Amino acid sequence: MRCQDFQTHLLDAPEASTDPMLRASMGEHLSGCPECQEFQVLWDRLGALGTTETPARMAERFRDRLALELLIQKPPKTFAGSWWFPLSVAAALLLSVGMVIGYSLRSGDGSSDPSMASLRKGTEADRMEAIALVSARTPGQGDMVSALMDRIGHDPSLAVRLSAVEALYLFAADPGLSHRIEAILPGQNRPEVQLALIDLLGAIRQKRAAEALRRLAKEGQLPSEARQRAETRLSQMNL
Amino acid sequence: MEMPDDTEVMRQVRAGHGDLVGLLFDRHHRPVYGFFINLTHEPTLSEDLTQEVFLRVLRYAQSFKEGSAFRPWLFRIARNVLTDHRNRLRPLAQLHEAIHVPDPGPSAQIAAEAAADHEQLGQALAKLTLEKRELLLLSRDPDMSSQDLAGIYGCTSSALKVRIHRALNELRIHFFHHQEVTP
Repeated sequence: MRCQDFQTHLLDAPEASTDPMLRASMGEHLSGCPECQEFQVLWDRLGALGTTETPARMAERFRDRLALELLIQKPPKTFAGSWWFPLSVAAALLLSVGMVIGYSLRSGDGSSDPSMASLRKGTEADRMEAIALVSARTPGQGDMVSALMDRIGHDPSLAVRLSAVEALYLFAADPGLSHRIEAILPGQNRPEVQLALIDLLGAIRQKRAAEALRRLAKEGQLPSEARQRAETRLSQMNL
Repeated sequence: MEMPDDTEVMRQVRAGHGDLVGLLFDRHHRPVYGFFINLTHEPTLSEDLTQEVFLRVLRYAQSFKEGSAFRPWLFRIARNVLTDHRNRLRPLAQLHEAIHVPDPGPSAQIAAEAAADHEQLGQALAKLTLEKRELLLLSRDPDMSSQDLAGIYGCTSSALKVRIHRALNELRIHFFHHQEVTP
C-alpha cells in the first residue's frame, strides 16, 4: 500500500474500518511509515475533540431561553390583535420570572446575581435571567427602568432587548415611561424592538402614552410598519 | 416508548411544537458546542452561539426539507451563525490571531510527547485558516457522512476529500513542526 492510498482510506475511516482485509493492509503500512503515523495520530486526536465537556446548566439556560423565544414568536391566538395582548405576554413573563426565582432559590448556588450590573454580564441567557430576576426584586423602580432602557438601547442581542421591553410591563405605572419609550424608539435598528415598544405604549393606557403614539404614528423617520402599528394601538386605547 | 428520530421531531416542530427543539438540543448541543469551542476557545461565546443555532432551528424550521438528514442542516446553520458573528464583530481578533508556538526542537521524542498534548493541537489548529479548521472539525463528526459534508460545502465527495487531505497535511506540518515544502 502506498502512502496516498493509506491517507485516502484514512479519510474514509468508517467505511475502511468495516473491511478486515483493508484494515490489515493499512496496519501493515502504518507500522513502517512515520509520515502516515503522523496523519493517523492527528486524525484520531481531531476525532477526540468532539467529546468536549459543556458548561454546567447549559441545557437549563437554553430551555429558559427557548421558553421566552416561544412566547415572543407565538402569542396565544385568542389574544392576538387585541390591545391587551401585550399584557398576556407580561403575565407569561411574570410566570417565567417566578420560575426563575424559584429555581435560583432552590439551587442556592449563588449563580444568579441579582444586581444591576448583572444585566450587562455573561451570556445572552445569563443577561435574560438577570433581567427577570432584577426586575422582580429591585426596590428602586427608577434605577431599574434606566437599566432596562440601557439594555434596550445597547445590548447586542435582540432576544435580550426584547426581554428588557417585556420586563418594562412591570413598570407601566411609571409616569415617565411613555416619554422615555418615545425617546428611545426611533434609534432602534430592529423593527421587532420598535413594534414591541409600541405595543408596550399601547398597553400603558395613559394619556401620555396615547400622545406618544399619536406623534409616533406621524413620525416620518419610522418605518411604515411601525407607524401603522402606532395607529392601531392608538385606536384600540379609546382614550 | 420509542423516541422519535430527528426528522420526525422536526416535522412536529414545523407543525407548531416548538418546545421540541429542546429535545434536539439535548441530542446535538455537545458537538455544536465542541465545534464552536474548538474554533473560538471562548466558552461563553460558544454557549451563546450554540443557543443561537438551536433558536434558528426553531425560527427556520419551515426551511428544513422533509426526509433530509438533520445533522448536516444543523451544522450548516452553525456555520452561518459563526459567519454572522464574525461579520458583526469584524475584525474578530481571537479567530485569526497568530498564537505563538514554542519551538520544541527536532527531537522525535518531544514530538511524540506533544502528540498527546491537547493544547498543542489547539495551537496547531490556530495556525490554519478558519475555513480549514472548520472543515477538519466537521469531517470528524461521526454522525455525518462524506456525502452530508459535501452537501454542506456544495462540492463532490472526492473534491471534499482533497480539501480535507490538504488541511490535514497542513495541520501535520504545524503540529510536528516540519519545514513547509512549497509545491
